[in-house]
Amino acid sequence: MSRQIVIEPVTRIEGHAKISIQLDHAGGVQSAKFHVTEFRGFEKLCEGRPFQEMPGLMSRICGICPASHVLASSKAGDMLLGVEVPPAAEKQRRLVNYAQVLQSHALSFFHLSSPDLLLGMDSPPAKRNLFGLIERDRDFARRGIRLRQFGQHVIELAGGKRIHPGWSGPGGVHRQFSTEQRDEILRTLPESVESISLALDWLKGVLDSFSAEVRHMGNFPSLFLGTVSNEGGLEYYDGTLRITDSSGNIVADGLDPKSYFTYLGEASEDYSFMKNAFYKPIGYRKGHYRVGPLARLNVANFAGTPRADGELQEFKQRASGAVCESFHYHLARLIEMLHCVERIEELLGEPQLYEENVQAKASLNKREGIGSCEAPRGTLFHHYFVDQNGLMTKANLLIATGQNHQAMNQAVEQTARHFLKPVTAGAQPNEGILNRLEAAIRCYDPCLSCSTHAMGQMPLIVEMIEPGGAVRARIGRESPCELS
Amino acid sequence: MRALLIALGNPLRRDDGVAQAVLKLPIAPETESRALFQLTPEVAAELAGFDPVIFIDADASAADVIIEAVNEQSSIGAFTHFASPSEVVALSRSLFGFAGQAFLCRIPANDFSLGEGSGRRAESFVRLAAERLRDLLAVHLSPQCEHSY
Repeated sequence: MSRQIVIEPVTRIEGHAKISIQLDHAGGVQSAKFHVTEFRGFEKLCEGRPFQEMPGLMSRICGICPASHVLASSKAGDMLLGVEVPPAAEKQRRLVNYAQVLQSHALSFFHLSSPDLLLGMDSPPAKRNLFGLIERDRDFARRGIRLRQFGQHVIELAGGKRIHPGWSGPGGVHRQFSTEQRDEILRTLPESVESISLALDWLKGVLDSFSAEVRHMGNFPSLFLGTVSNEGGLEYYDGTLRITDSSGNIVADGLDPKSYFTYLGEASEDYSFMKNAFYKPIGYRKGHYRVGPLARLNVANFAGTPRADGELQEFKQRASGAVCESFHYHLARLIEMLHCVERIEELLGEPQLYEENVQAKASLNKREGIGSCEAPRGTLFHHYFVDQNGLMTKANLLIATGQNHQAMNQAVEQTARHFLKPVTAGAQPNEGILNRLEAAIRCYDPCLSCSTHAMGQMPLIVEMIEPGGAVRARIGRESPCELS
Repeated sequence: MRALLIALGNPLRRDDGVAQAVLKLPIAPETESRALFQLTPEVAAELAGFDPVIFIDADASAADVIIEAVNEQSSIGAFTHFASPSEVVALSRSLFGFAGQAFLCRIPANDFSLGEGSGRRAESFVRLAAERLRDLLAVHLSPQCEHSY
């Protein structure tokens, strides 16, 4: 008799999802899937609205990375106007995007994933939260909160609001950046560098105690996609796309993000509201690729800032080709945080950031606009079509979490195969194993609000389903096992 | 000591914006305020040095404006991307030395549909909330008032 285990919703991620594991007749793992069970549909609701409204509207997709959506949307608007934004506007956009990546990564690492890392995968679920962290390491918890506060504060200073800043639009940004704002950021910047460095040293020191998770929680070959500068360095705002394989070979380089649809395909599955993406020349499924911190570090030759460069070179020593272990998304996230703080400091030292001209003015010049940037979770594309009056007729959003969809499925399946021992009828899987299934997903820090443009809640339910579809057992985080 | 008012809610969701509407009314001179869509853990780092801290929020279950002490004993959930007043206050006491009193001002609300501006009923509660906050702060910010944790 085969059965299915369902974890629903998955916890400590942004959004509402479930994991289902199909068991074979012997109780072993046959397959596993990550389902996104929510839907909001920004692509549809923006139709008929003026394109100038898009950055403000699209920022509402997500409360974690709204600035990335504002930037991709603004860049699509730049293309519709047919303008290049003034240097001050570009630098301000870059500044906010670095702050966005920093604060989002701080949240992912310190608030969501570090309870597993600091307290252990098998620690009591009631302790696997920020308060559990405080009991174990007060300074670590404090630094995590302060880091996110730093990133949010930079966004608030430039964008006016820490969540849903609407300061950028087609043609540039809405206000000049001041030296007073610079000074305020510089006051707390050294503490951020110190906190990230401490966290990096700590994580590298404990990796050996997670060797099973590193090896078996999403360690598989795949393609990796990310934005690189003209010189092949880490890049988050502009540049071209590079795809490498798991051996580290460059599969495609110099790809123009504005023609993403010619080489990236999108597909949907009936079990999830989240889209899948693939590299067209290889095809659906085999052409799946990963994006985000791990992918960016794999595709980039160098970081371009001193501290992050040192860490990146050490990171690349972990594999002869690409680093394929999903667990190392955590390490990659910390290296990116270090890079972001270094870049923020660099930008604050550039006189052009403070120039008065922050807006290129033009009317509608094109009917199609595409904007892309590197969001915290990976490459983000906004693709708009407008009519002669500038009203939106169609939008396509290709979101990082959707591009990692197949990778997350694969990570869950590998984790289940390794850690989940054959389940006999009526038996309840070990809670720590269920946590590892979720942790495999958490490596990718998925944002389901972004990928389906929806919002949700996060308890946890596991269902074991027999071949005919009958629920054999249902296990909840907050309720004991109910066996049918 | 200065008071900190933290208004929570989305003004594009009708009555959900009542807390931010309160901030537009005169409350007390020794007061700092923040308007936030939602509470997040890092807000905990901002409470130290203020007394009292008052969270203001729309509440579909409230029948009247209620100002009550934040229940710091309430259960702590798994932190995600948002937090409750009790979690933020507990974090702030534990990590950032917040030593003041914390209150939650709940304002009755029932229309959370898309759109700006709240209904007439909610608006009357906004004025009432401002009055009650003024009364509370008049007591707490007076030189005679001393309290400690």
